[in-house]
Amino acid sequence: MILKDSPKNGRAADMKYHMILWGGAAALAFAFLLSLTMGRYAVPFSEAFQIVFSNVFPVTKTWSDISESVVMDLRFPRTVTAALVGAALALSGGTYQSIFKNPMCSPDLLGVSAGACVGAAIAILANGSSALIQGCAFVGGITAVVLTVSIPKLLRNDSTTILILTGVVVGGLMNSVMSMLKYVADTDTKLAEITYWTMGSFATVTIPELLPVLPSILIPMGVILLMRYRLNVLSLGDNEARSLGVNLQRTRGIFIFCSTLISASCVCLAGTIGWVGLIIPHTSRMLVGSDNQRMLPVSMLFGAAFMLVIDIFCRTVSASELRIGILTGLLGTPFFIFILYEQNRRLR
Amino acid sequence: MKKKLIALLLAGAMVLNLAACGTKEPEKTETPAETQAQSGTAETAEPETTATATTTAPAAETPADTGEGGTVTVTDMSGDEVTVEGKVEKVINLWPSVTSSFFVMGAGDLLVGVGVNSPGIMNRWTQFFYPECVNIMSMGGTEPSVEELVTQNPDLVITHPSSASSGLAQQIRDTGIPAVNINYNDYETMAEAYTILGQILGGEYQEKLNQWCTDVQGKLEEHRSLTAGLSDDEKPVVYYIAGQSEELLTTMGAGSIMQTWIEVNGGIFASDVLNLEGQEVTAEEIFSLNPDVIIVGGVYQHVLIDQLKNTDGWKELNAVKNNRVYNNPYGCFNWERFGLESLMQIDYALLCIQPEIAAENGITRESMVQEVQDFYQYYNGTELTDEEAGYMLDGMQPDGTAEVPVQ
Amino acid sequence: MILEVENLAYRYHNGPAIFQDINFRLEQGEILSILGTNGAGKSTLLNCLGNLYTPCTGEIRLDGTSMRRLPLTQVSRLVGYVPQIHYPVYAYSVRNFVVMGRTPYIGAFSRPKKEDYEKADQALEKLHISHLAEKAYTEISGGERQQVTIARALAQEPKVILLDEPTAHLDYGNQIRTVRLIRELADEGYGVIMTTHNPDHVLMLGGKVGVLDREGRMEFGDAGVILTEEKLSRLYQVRLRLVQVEGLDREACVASMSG
Repeated sequence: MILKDSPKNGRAADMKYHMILWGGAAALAFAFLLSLTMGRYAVPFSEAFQIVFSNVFPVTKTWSDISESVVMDLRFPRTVTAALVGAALALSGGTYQSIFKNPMCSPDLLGVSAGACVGAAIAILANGSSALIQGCAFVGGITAVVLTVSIPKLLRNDSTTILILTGVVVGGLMNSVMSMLKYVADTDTKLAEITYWTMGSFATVTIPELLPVLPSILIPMGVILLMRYRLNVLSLGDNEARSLGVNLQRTRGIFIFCSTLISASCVCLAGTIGWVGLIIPHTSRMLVGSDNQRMLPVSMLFGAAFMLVIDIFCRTVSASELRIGILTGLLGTPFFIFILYEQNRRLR
Repeated sequence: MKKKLIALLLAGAMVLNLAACGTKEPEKTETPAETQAQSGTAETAEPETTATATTTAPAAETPADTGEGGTVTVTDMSGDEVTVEGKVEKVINLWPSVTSSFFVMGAGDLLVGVGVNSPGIMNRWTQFFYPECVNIMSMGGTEPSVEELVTQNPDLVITHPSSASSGLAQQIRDTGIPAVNINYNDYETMAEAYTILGQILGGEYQEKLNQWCTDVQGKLEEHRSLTAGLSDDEKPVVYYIAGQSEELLTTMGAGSIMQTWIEVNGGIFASDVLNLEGQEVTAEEIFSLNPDVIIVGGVYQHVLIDQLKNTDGWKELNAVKNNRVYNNPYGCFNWERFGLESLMQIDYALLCIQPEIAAENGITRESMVQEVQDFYQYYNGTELTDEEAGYMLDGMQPDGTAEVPVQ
Repeated sequence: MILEVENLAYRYHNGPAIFQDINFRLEQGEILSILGTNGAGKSTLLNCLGNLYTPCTGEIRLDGTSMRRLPLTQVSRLVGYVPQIHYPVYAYSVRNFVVMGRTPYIGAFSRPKKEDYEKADQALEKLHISHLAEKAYTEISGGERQQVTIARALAQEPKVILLDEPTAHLDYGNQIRTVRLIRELADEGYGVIMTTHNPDHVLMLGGKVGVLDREGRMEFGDAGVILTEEKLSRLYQVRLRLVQVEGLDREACVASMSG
């Protein structure tokens, strides 16, 4: 599948890139503020604004404790988390799409989400605390990917194709294990718990839950961003990358490792959230071209903004929150079809 | 250029994070609405408060003033400390299994919201005892957004057990609304849960709930001793059919509450013999077990009993041949599963499983009718006619028709 | 710089030898054409020379140091590899594609600098394809893509350039132009090794030739000496003649329609 690159003229492309980059940052900032000021509990916009800024600047308090609690305890953690997870998943997806030379890749190609869900399910069945469930999810995700990358070593074939295949296999295995766990779960409580956990939600993330996970998201993101030029080279192909002096196994390994840490952390915070890692890099590519130097930062900004908007929608549209995993799928699919349609139209 | 941008973003994110950490710890403060006068219409101190010691008593930090206008701190069944101040008049209940208990003990007016309420969810007995039940607001699910709950401003939220590990209860508490997590699936855990609920609600409700705990404890002990001397041959094997669907093979697993009211009454629970972990059993297993007694609950009880008598294989079972197939009554909720009405299940089951012992001890069909009337008189303040009580015992609706009739 | 190959052999896991006993040496400014039939192992040999495969026995030395002992980036600064035409998934601009040739000089945590882009522009300039700079790599013709890939190899500033069947997939005119380009590169001082199916191109280029037979053994020497009618006929199993063409001033390989 051939993707169209950006405008032909170099200088116009540069300007477009900067416009999009700053536009994205502005959109993100706007979405962030919107997320803090919107919700089922009515807090006037100006009041919410004041509450947020009172944390950094001294502002005389004219609002109720409840309003403050709603904005800072309920909305703020989930806003930060949603933005972070959106950016992280977009980055992770874009990275995989380069490594596996396939614009249809998503961050759970190697089975990280499926493995994390299995880990969480086991912890839920064992009546684990919230922290234990997070921990097990994380371990589960990492384990699945370790399994996926170990099989090619056994087969003595380290081509990228084999990696994709083993990823599919391990993912399938994890899903089977998941089904088994769901089968033995108590239908009154445990099954619902597992299902809801899997569907994804930012509702119950608190700052104490978020902080320990932060390094395992931010640091790998930083590494990937620093090394993003190598992704261009990797996307040319295994042999070509090697001929250009790139240590294929090590470089690919670092990217996969970082991406796995990011994905596993995101899943253990908020459950499975699909489509973001697929659509956002795609859209960014359409706007600023395939060069990862530009595409990845733009993806991060758009991913964060996108996730915030969806989260706002999920929690304001009805009394009972929609699960974000559902909405990213429902909105993602038509959006994706639209992208393909645009692609097709432009190629004519 | 790009490096700077990213550094700026990361720094910005970190600053905001630090700012968040800097906010004061969320206090468990009173809701602004909670400025009601602590009016002293305090009922006389319940004599039953101390009697709760007979059942597994959960920790009650301050048994001082119980719920009526005072402050109570309880430890809920997730182990969290919950403080409730003032009288509880508005409850949002997200756990359907305890909703019926509110209706049974006449506390329907306290419920301002339930997890899900759609047409058909409140059965006819519930509507009989509390007609306004169909109007209770639905929260749209068992995990509504905290903001929505805050908007409704209840005095108490009961969370669904499946949210136990998600931290939802604590999030609700952080906004100043008490949230408790209770969970039960047998007599022991019901006693625990009801004791906690009683402490929170106080007043007549605490009295009723504590009375229930005492009575259940008493009956269980009494029946145990009545059937203690039975040898294994004298104990019939009892197969229970859940009856929530038209399925003869859906039961409850070993260790469930069915095992309690069967064994206490001198029976052997089929699922226990079969070591059944889940709820599905195969026909072959039941046929080879050949149970002596079959008890069918749920809305499909009459349909299933009819099927038992008319289906090959099943009609040859001892239970069917010897006419030992019984329906199981349900009121606001199935007697045999849980809820306040499960108190009456203990006597009813003895009647089915060991009819002679029952007769010797004055438990008959007539006495059950009286028991049903006494139960609802005390708990609900409603007088049932002999006819209505009889309908309930026969697994019918208040008008004498079956919810799912035999075709 | 001198490229030396000693006793090189390659076999798949427990399989028969793809090639064995390969020995030759190449200096800067020289051309080596590797001829052979389909499946003879030409590409495999080239991949070994390009540090993509590891040979089972033998050694490849660059200026006396074994390729195995050199760090990857060092090898890439010495050896450039131009693969057969391929279709990448992502539509990088030609300029961005060519600047990737600078990767051996760009650290893992860095990005191309102005100098790197300048070198890429110079490579494009040299091949007279600067006008393609901002076009998407996937939207240019096959011949242009070939040139762009060579430009990328030039941006690597290697001493030796390897080309895998550079004339496959090209029209007749482009084929000839490519052969001429290779001649030019050698004249400028690059060592060039290419695999080819076309003995006539080898005759055009002159230089050295390595003929890989079906057993995987290579006969190495000057093209003019090694390539005889008999050898070529036997190799390709067709009757052919090597004829001197007056007016064009070179020997050509011409096949018969029968035999």
